[in-house]
Amino acid sequence: MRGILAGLLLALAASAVACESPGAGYARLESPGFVLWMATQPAPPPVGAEFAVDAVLCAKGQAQAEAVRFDAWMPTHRHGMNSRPSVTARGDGRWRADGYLFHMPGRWQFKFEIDTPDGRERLTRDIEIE
Amino acid sequence: MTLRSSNRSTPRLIALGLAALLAQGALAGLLEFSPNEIRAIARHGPWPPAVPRDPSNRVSGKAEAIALGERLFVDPRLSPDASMACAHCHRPAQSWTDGRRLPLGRANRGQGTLVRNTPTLSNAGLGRWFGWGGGSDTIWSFSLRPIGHPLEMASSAAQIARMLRGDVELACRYRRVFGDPDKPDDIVLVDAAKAIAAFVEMLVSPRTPFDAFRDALLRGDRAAAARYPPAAQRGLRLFVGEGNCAVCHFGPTFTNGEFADIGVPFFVPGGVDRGRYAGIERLRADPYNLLGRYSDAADPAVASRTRHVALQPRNFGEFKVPGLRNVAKTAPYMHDGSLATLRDVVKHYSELNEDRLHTEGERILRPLHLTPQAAVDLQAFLESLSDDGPPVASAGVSGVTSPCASPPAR
Repeated sequence: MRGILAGLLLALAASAVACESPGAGYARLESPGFVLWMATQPAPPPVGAEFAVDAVLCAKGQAQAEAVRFDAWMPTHRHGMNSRPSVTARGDGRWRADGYLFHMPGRWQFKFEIDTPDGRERLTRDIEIE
Repeated sequence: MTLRSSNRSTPRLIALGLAALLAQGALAGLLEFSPNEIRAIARHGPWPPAVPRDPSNRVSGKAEAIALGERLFVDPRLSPDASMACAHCHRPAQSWTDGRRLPLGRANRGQGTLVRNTPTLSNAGLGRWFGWGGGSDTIWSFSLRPIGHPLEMASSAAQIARMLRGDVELACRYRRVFGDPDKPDDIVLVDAAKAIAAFVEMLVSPRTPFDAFRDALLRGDRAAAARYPPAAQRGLRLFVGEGNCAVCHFGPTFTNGEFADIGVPFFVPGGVDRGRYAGIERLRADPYNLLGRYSDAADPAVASRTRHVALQPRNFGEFKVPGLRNVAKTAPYMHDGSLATLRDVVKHYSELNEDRLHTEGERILRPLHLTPQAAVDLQAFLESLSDDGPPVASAGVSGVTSPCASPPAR
């Protein structure tokens, strides 16, 4: 299991705007403390070519994110990607992760891990790639 | 529907029946592929694709660079004793490989042994990583390795620069492509490698019986599709279906361009071949990688794959997933050339030894336990991925007349 440190988020304050869909093509993921919207660029993600993930994270209440990790893996194959994405903060809870590469068709799972003062929350999204 | 005979309708019915019979006869050899199968088959084309230009190589796609690269590719003076050219191992008539289990290199001179099978250069321009361990991220940086390898050309930047400056025709060609050769030796060396890469990018394998079948199937031309041998069709169904082969041998090139451990032993004389693990280490240490100063790419995104590649324990013993186009012409097989024939390859996957696979590795690899007929079918499909034309007698892809060319002898 590999984690990608997105960087420290200093007392991430969720804005009302960030909790709404950022636009067409974004999928909504939810954990007890957070909502995360994600979209791949391009969509759908290709096989055998790099793509990026845009994400918008907001806290549902008083939850605070100290760090976010971006990753993906193939649960049925039990392996992850051959690349480790790099994550850039774009402000207002917006993130861009470059360097994703799905090297096989099949079911992939995007994974986001959010560290909070009270523990770690995980959000996932499955996607079938042809 | 009920059909009634009448004097007027009989000839028409006969004609229809005959047509149906003829059609049935023509289609007797066409399997009924499901929509899912047809989608999976479609992903292996179209062919040939447009070869992308390499943005890290400023002469990629330029005719005079391709012509210079072709000259260099066959020139044994790349090695200081004029004994070995690129074409020594990457032979045009053998689909750009050498037909040997392992390349001879300088092994016959008591200087050691090479441990990896010579990969074909066909379709290299469509790749992402180069070499069985992917230790290079461009064709031009990959070309530098045999030039400098002590068991291959055993050459140097000084040797290459001397050759390019000293030969009147080569110097002329170099000047037209890269400018004055009076520059540091390492720059001339990299330029030479970029010319060779420009040539290698052009080596695209021809269309095959599989391509004709795929295209016919997609345009609904069942009669044309039915000309594809039934055994190959059954093998294709296995390849894209139950065999799971297309998971790694993906897309038009029949490779996902990445690396896998398929249970081929990686022990070599005196140790182990660490495969992709060593490849990533080598890539990161390579001054000629995409992150280095020799790349011509202005856009940092070009180096993204090298910046993001992850070194993981499972890379140990992984080797490049080779493309399968012209596979029937590139025996022997596997990174160590240990399987002599396609039949041996099919047998390997049929009897796969799971104990040799990483415990944390792919869960898609299982012994296929093929029946004798299924093994023959899979082999027939693999053979259909090769063009049936005559062997290429020479590189001959550039076709450029140069003002630098030597006048023909009188």
